[in-house]
Amino acid sequence: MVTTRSTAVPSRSFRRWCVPAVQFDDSFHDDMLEGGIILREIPDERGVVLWATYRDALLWNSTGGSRSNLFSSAALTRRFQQIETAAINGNISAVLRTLTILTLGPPAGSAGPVEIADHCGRIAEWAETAGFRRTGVHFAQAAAASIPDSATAALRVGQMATRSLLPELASSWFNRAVALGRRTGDSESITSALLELGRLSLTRGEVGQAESWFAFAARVARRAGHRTMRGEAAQGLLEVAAASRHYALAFQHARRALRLLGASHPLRPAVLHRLAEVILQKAEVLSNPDRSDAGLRAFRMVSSILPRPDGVENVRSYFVLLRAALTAKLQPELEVAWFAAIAAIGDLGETRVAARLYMELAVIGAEIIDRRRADDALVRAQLVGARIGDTALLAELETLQLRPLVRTPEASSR
Amino acid sequence: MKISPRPLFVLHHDEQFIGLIARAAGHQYGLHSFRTWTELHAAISAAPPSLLVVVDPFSGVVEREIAPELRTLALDFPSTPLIAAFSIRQTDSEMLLRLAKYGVCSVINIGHDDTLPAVIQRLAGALGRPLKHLVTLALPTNLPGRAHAIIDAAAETVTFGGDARDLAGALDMSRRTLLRWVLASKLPAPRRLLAWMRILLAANLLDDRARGVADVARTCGYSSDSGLRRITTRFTGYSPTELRQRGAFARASKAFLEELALHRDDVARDRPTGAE
Repeated sequence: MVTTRSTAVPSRSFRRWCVPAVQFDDSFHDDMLEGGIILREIPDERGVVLWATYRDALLWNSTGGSRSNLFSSAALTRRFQQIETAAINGNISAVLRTLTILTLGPPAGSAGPVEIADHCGRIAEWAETAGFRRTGVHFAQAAAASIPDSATAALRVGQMATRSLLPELASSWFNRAVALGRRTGDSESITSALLELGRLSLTRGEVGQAESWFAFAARVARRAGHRTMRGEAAQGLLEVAAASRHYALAFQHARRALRLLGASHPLRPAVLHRLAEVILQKAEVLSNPDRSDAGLRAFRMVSSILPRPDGVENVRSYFVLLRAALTAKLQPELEVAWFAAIAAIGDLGETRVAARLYMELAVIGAEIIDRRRADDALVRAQLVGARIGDTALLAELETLQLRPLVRTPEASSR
Repeated sequence: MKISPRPLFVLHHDEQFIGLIARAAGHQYGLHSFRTWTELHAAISAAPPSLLVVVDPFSGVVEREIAPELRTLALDFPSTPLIAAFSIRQTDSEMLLRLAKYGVCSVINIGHDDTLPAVIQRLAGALGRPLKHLVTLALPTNLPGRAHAIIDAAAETVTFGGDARDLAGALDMSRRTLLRWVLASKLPAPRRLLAWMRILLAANLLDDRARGVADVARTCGYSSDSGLRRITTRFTGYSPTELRQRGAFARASKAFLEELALHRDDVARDRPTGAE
């Protein structure tokens, strides 16, 4: 007997996701004037033009329906004159002119929000490149406000806020990107936002939370078939496992990340660097012959990624190389790596970061080579610190010099 | 709690512009026009927190210079949202920054956005900005972005006497969703959060040197100063007068942050795996 189901299985209903409100960076940490940070970042005629343009774009976005009487009839001509006389960089001046026509031009309101968002996005990129980061964030927000359903636009604001060291603002925009991505089925933006949230949690030291974000990102990327993003999630999980000293898990994630990222992905060196660190950490508990093997493995791994394009990452990889050479008992390579590390820090110029890295090198030098080398690095740190007037660093160096730097048994036996 | 309708005070020499403001005010605001800074100053001290003030920053000054009375006004009533209405020139960068420093939170650019729809938007945008500004400054940096957004909206909601329903509306979500989001953000329940925002609003007004405690109570919607005293004592442990002596907003925001931290610890203990 054939039976039929009396009630049909209900079709999977679409869940209506509520999109979280975002914290709008409106210069609140500085003063109350909307967009005031633009004037402070660019305190000249260009700043006034950009500030006014930003306000116009926001006003255009916040006014629904007909915008034909939004601005006065003389507004367009006046703004054009201002752009002409403000000596704004050629390319961006053209973008500003177009945005002005779109927002103020007759018939006002005929422009589409996507065009407005596109032009605001271009100004944001220009501002960020020119070093006006908060101005960039403001224009990126104006772009996202033009197309409030776009997960990509929300993601861009978050990324720009991250680079401008505004992590709370960034996290609220990433959350919004996730919700918008779910609504519009934009799995790429969802995964990117989840990865960014994971990285933000890692920088805050919230390892458990970071693991949840990366695992979530990995799930979404797997379902949507984004191979490299799965690799990026695996790289994040590797960072989490390494931070928690779960070595077996770290190796597993590293293998997966390397397989998924492929040979030319820019994150590959970061994975190899972290993997080498994990190998060296694990080698600390091994017996002597095994330790040398592990050191050699880590040494080869790090050598394959050097030099790295990012100056600071490059130096950090040389630090791992130094430790690997010591563990593998490669004395000549250790010497070469030492001078390469010094040169790599030198390439960073006389900066705060360079001074700090010299100090770190001094500690490494005392641990793995000898006190003379450590003193050399300390003197360099002091010189750079004094030149840039980093009093906090100089005080730290004083205490470091007073403290006898510990030498490992390996260093003592040489 | 009953809050009086939003008053809109204008000090401007241009009658045509005042007419435009009157049209923009519509039924939402009660427009009052003033001729001198002294009249305006006296009127603000008795006005409710939902007050908006539109001024010509050069009023009463011969040169194109910011009137010193505007600075006095900003110092005496830092909780009042000030909107400057004047024709912005390209060389006004320094002047705009000075206005921002004096507490001006928005500008109507005459000859550019002095149109009815634009002015309506500018007025709406300025409402509640001083309290939002102060609350944002007081909040800890490790507070999740979502929590920031909810607190921002709560600060705006209380300035026009809104309740939990209005807060949900401001965040474009239902009351149930708001409750879920508030819990997920490890914040107190919406009603409690709004009560705290009212305390902060009152504390902000208490810091205005030119306002009496009774004025603050009345402008915040309390029938007498005893109502305000009861609520500030329950939430912060201090009466309005004691709060004022100790720096009202600083003290009240400290108590708010302590409760926030306590609440976050409680939630973390109950739900160790809670998302942001």
